[in-house]
Amino acid sequence: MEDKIYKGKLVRLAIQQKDNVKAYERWNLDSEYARLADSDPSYLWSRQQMAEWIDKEEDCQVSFNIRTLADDKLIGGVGLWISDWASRNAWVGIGIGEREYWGKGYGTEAMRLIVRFGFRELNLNRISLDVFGYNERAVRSYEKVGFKVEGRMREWINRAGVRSDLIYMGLLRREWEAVEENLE
Amino acid sequence: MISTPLFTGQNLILTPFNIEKDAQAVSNWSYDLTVARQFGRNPARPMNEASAKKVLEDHTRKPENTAFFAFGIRIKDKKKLVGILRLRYIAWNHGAGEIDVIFGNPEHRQQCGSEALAMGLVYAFEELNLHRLNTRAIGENEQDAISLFETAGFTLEIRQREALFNSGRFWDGLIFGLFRSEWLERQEAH
Repeated sequence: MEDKIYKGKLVRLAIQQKDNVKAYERWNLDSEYARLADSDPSYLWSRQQMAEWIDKEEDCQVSFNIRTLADDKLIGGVGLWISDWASRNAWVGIGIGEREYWGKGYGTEAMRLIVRFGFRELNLNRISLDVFGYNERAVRSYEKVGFKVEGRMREWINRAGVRSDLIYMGLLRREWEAVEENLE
Repeated sequence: MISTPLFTGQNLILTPFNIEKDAQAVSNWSYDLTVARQFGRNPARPMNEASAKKVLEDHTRKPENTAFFAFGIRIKDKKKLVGILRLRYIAWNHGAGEIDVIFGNPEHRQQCGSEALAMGLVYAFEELNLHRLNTRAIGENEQDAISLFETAGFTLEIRQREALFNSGRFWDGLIFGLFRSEWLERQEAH
């Protein structure tokens, strides 16, 4: 049962380890990655700061590393933030720091795994995300998992002087159940 | 114009908080869960005076927090706090932020809502120089939100299906947006 939650065909969800900071440090230097992953200004966090975040576990947050099944390589991270237990709604965020794993289904599968975790283990009714208008590859990936576009904050993002929309997407439990049945 | 008063309206004034006295008002408001929900305590519940005091302390701007501004809303010549205007989650690198107006009772919202919002828009666009603003509403208040925000020029941009649960059911989360350029056009037209 545990395997079903954490493991797919390409990747598994793994516990965060302190020595991951070396990889995080490398990913932070990849400015395109940083600008796809976060709307905050890109920044070079110290190893100590990053190690503190890894150690800190909070009840409202479930974070995993994404590791390949083929060679156990750390390629990214994914997490759920539960904004409100009564509403059974959580936000999901994902990043694939290793570029050679972009566009090959690794991120999509990791997203399927965390979504399954959210609905089966956290009993969520809904999972929410936002994605930058210039990240079309991510939008397509989320649509494959079942997320639907629910609207756009027009011109919310300004990156290098170019404005883009912030796209909001959502996946309801009943929609996921219909997709999940087809997969199994 | 730099001579435009930011904190004095036709019938309303924006003021700092008087934490000791205003806490009593906020505590009274919070018996209405639709008001309590807007203070972000999860789950929403009525607040005693000590909790209300904590909320007002949190709403008092710390100079190092540049992403948050809140003001007490009062009717001119009256001391009692009737509402709170907030500009939050300001992402300076994107020129984007969020505005909301909280009122302790529906009568004040009806009477003062559009004037308080208009004052907030002047502050957001002329003092903070934001490119865009958004505001959030819960499905249960959809008609009220539409009449307040669409009248002020906002467009409904997002409907997060079943994002919130209260009063025994799920409600959609609504997000409205307004550009500085849209606001300016309306200012000129009036």
